[in-house]
Amino acid sequence: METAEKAVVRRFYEIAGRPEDLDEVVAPDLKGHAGAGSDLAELKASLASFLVPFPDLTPELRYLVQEDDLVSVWLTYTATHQADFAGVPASGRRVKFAEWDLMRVRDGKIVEITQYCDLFTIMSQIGALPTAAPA
Amino acid sequence: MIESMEDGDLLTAGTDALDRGDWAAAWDKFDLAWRAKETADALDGLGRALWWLNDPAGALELRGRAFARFRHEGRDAEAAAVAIWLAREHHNLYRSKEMGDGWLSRARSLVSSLDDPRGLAGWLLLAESEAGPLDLPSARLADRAVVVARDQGDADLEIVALMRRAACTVSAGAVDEGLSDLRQAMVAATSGEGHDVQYVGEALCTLLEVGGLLGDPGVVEPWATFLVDFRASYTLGPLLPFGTTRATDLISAFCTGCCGGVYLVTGRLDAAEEQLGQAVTQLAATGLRPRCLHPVADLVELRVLQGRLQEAEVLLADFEDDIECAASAADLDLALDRPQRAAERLAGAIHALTNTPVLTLRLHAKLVDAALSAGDLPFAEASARSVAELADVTGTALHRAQRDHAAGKVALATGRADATSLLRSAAQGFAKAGAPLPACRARLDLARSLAGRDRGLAITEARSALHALDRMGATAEADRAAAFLRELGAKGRTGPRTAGLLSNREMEVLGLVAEGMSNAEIGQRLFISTKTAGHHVSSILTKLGVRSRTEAVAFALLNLPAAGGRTSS
Repeated sequence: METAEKAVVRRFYEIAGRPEDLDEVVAPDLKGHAGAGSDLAELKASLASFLVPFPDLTPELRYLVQEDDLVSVWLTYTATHQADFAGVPASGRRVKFAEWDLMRVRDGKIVEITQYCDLFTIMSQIGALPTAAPA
Repeated sequence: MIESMEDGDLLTAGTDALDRGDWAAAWDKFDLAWRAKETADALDGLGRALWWLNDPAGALELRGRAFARFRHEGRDAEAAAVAIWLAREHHNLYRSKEMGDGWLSRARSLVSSLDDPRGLAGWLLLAESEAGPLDLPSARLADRAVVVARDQGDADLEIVALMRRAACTVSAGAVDEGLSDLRQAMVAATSGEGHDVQYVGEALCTLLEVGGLLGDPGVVEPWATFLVDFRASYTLGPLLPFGTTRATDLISAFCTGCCGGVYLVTGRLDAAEEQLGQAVTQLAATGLRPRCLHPVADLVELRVLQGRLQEAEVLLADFEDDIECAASAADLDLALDRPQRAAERLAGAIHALTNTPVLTLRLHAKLVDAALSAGDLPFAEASARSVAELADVTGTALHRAQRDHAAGKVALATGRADATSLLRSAAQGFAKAGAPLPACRARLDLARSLAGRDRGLAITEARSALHALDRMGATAEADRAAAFLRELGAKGRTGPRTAGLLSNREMEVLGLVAEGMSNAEIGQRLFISTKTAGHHVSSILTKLGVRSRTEAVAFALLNLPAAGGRTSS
């Protein structure tokens, strides 16, 4: 069932490629956790920093589940590694990784966000981790 | 009689070796043939082999002598073929108009004296097309050459003439039509319809030229495997001098040897420096230059990027009037704060290239910078509109990014609100098109557009640009980015990034960040305030030169084995 809260969360992913426009759906006093950083400025920096090494970052929402004002999202990102990420120079490789976000939405704005992404997969897909299995 | 049979066998063996691409063997056979009997055929064979052995000047000299012998032996058709070849080499490899035109007239009078010129009439038309600019009249000459090629069943001529028609049509603005020619010719070239491998090589060079013209690697991509295989099977002789190969990406796998220009775009400035240095030396010593770029123009661009302006000026001294150097000369003018002179230079070059509008796109884009530096907003707007019109014609990703960047800079200068979205789209577009250097420039402009409304994000974007520019060795622009960061009150450069820079406490905090803890949780765990935890985290980001917690965790994953036990960010 589509709700107002879910619509806000969907909108978040629509504009995630333009961090400067996030004020539209995120409260100025946002509380952030884990990968999102601790406030709105850190969240924007976090997204902007992903868009440099992965300029074609594309989200695909897989599940959107709501309980009260909490919306939980499991999504898949695809992108191409085109600039330095964590000291690993551009490899040109395609990456596909899972992300899990939990957002609290109040009065049409995201007020709290927790983000975890599958970094191990990213690092191994850009060739930065030694893999046990032969390639 | 027996002796002349043997001579004939040697000539046949030499020709066979040429067909196989075994240039050294061809040279040996023709050399033996020449020692046995000094014939025009042996001399001509030696010239052809020498060309592939990467001594084009020697090849031109030998074939010039072969021409005289053919004439002497009354073999005017062979002489005409050699004259056409020489005209094309002088025009295409040496850009020597006088010599090229001279051989062209010799060829023209010989061909007209032949009873049945067959394919030679077509080759002559092709040479005439190549003597002119990449415009529609040249396309029409190439078109007539295609007709002759089909009529005579000359596959080599058909391939090269179709490619020439493609390059002329594309630069005149009829992109789809040109690309269709190009596909046709490449199918013929790759299916082995051609006879002489030199012309397959020439087709590949034109392919790269058109790809570069449009800034679209997609043009080259379908033929990538063929390119790489071809490059592995044959050295390309003077088409692509300096035969080092390192297969890192599609284009450089093929033409690492000459395309310092490719490195400029892809931001590998150290590699560009080496290749361009060699190319400029070769140009100065022998007059030979790679087909698809002007080494002096590109080296000047590189020197300006590195902030080595004096050296750029010295290099440019003899090439100031060369249209192909106009864009780089304008870069230098802008770096030396002479926007008016840059604008005049660019306007002059654009005027001279009226018939090949696609070639003027990057000139219009630079004109936006010159006009903005000179404070002439209407002129900047008009130039940005020209970029947009040309980008609509070609429709390539790179050109669309250039359109957005030009429009974004004008919007930024006039304080318009859409500057940010245009500049972000430009930065992403350049990055997607595999052009990190212009991507950095767009990103720095993006940071400027954000400065007034979102200082934090402006700092993030400017730092990203600064790091990348520093890594590429684009010193002058990196300094500009660092100065902008200082204006914002932020630290610019960070030192070397190693975990050793972190204090013990910071190592501990990084380990907890890697476990996915928030600042509050870290504070609780370490009995410090949330705020202090936050300070530790920002200090870690600055010291490691990373842009976010997630990137710091990724760094920890690679560099702190003890902390890398978790996958979360």
